[in-house]
Amino acid sequence: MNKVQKIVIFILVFLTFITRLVALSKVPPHLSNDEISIAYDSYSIRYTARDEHNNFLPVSFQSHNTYKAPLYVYLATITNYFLGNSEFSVRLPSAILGSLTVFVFGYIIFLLSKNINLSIISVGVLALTPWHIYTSRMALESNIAVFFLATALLIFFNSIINNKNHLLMLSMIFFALSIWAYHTEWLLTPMIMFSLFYIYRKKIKLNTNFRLATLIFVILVFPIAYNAWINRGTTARANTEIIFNDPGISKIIKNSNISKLNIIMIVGESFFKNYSDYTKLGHLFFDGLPLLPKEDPYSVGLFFLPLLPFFLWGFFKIKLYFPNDYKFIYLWIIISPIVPSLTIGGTNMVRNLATVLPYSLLIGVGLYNVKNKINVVKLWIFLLSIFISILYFLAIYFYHFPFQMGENFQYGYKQAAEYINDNYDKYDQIVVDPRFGNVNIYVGVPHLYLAYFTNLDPKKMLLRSDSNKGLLFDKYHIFEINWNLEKILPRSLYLVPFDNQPGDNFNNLRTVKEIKLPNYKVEFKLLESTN
Amino acid sequence: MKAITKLIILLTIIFLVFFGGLFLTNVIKKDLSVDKIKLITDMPSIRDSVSQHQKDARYIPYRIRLIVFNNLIYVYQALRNIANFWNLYNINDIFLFVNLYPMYYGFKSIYKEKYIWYICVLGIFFGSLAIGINKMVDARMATWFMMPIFGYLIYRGIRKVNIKIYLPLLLVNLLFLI
Repeated sequence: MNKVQKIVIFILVFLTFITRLVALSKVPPHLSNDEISIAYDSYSIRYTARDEHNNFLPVSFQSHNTYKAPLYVYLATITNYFLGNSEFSVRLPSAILGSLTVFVFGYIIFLLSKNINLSIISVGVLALTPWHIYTSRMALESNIAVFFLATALLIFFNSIINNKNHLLMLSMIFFALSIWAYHTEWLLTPMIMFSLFYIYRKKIKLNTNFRLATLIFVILVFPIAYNAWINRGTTARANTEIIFNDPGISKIIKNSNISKLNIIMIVGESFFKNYSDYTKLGHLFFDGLPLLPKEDPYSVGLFFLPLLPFFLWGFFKIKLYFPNDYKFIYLWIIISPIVPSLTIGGTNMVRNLATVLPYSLLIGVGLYNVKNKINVVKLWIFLLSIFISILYFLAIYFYHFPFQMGENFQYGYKQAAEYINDNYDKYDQIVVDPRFGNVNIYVGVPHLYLAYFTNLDPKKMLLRSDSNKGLLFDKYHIFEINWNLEKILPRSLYLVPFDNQPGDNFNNLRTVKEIKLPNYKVEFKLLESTN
Repeated sequence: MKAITKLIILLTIIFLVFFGGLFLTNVIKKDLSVDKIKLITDMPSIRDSVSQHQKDARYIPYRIRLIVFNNLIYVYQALRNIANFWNLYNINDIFLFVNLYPMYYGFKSIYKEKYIWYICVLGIFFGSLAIGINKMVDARMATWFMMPIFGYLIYRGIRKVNIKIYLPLLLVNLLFLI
């Protein structure tokens, strides 16, 4: 490695960490629905070894009945221990492992191609790709799963290439951890493992080490598999999100007049349509990143637009730089979007995150191949376009995104919790209407935000009662308020959405705080009783 | 062939593909008038977004905001439409997914025949442009005039494909299409 390469690597390390850690608690503007669930469960586990729903050290977190994979929550318990309850503490595992993924990925490319420049270019692509920056800055299970999957691949290739058979065991542990980390990997990891075993079957020695490694993998994955099996049909996430549960498809499946071949065709077409949506260039380079409302023409793609031609070009040049491993790389590219394509609900870049690695590799290969063929003028035009794309992304990400999308992150509950924290003793009961948004279109999870950001003793949450009268715990009563039926008690605080304000006849309530979204629109009001 | 004849043929093909695409998607009506409502320039959401961003972007002076957030966004929108249109699903519907295989070889074989290469590339480009400026989400009709180009590329590449791979893939592809 020469001096220039060392400097470039140093700059990339700096950029990777800086883009993932700067203003981590401020952007995204608030913990999202899924993030707060992970945050609260990690807090609850730390003190009680139980999740929000009173399950003892679960292998599947019930969350909002979305049954999350467990690894992130347990990792966040560690950061919660050191850093307490904050956005930073819950997002930190993702930011750190996301940053490390970039370098693990670079090392995989170096191992396979023995080409340091190709590896550096690919690292640069992944380090600065909007898709990976976005997901590394949120507490997302899929992001840490990609880290474990990439590390497993790195160790696997190290074991194969350098003839270190004992490393296979470590590789299996990381493959198993990826399955503990996110649902997509339940299927993706085995597919990748089978591809590896098939393609490298001549290099893998079927000795005791291999058998032991396989056994360790099976033992580690068993709790997840067992839990999914005993909860099949009711709770397992993989059962609720699968393509067969699409209303149209499930209706067809239940129809006894339709032949099995026809059903296979219909499911196949639906899968192919999803796969097509996940791989379309518009999604990847124009509008895949949910930073702005969907109809906004200033939307940003998962990768920078100037990289599009290199993505296409790279596809045809893989064999040139990976003569021994191109079969696996093509398979990696093809199979990565398969699992998200088997799910319902439209394209979801979080479910498809594992694809960021092979696609970054494609772009890296495309760029490396073209690098020596273009003249200085074209090179500068390209660098300028990349520079403008980065500036544009940063402006959209750090300014327009929090400004416009606060409501999507249930913005306001943390700010309400801060007021409650300061005035907790003034009130005997705190009444919360969980609805928000225009005409109260959404129902949020204020109980988690309020409990987390006021550091409420998790044992009090475990004693909660949930009935048709709403959710009751500690001083909190959470239900959809009907002002016509509401009786205002003394020493009460109300947290209500803007579109469910009490009428003028409520003289015994006064506004103590208005909570505004980053775009200055009033979202919630805090009212206290005056009687 | 004389250079002028070549140019006329090229321009005719571009004209046919572009305006033919607009005609088949009813942007150009039968009386040859243009229905502007069907163009992306008539999207209120784009107009509103431009002015919204000009208003919101307080981190830069107002005059610079007008430069950064301007009507060039329509070009971006057209490219976005093109990129969204040419997905695997539409490709399969238009000329069968499996035919990407001979088309790849087709493109390779015409690479040195510059005139043919320009006809094919510019034909596909202007045909796609007709799709890009179109408000219609499903503008598959606009590809009809591009069919001869696709057909030619498949014809040029078909001799180089591995028939043992191509035929089973074609069969599976046809089966799914039915």
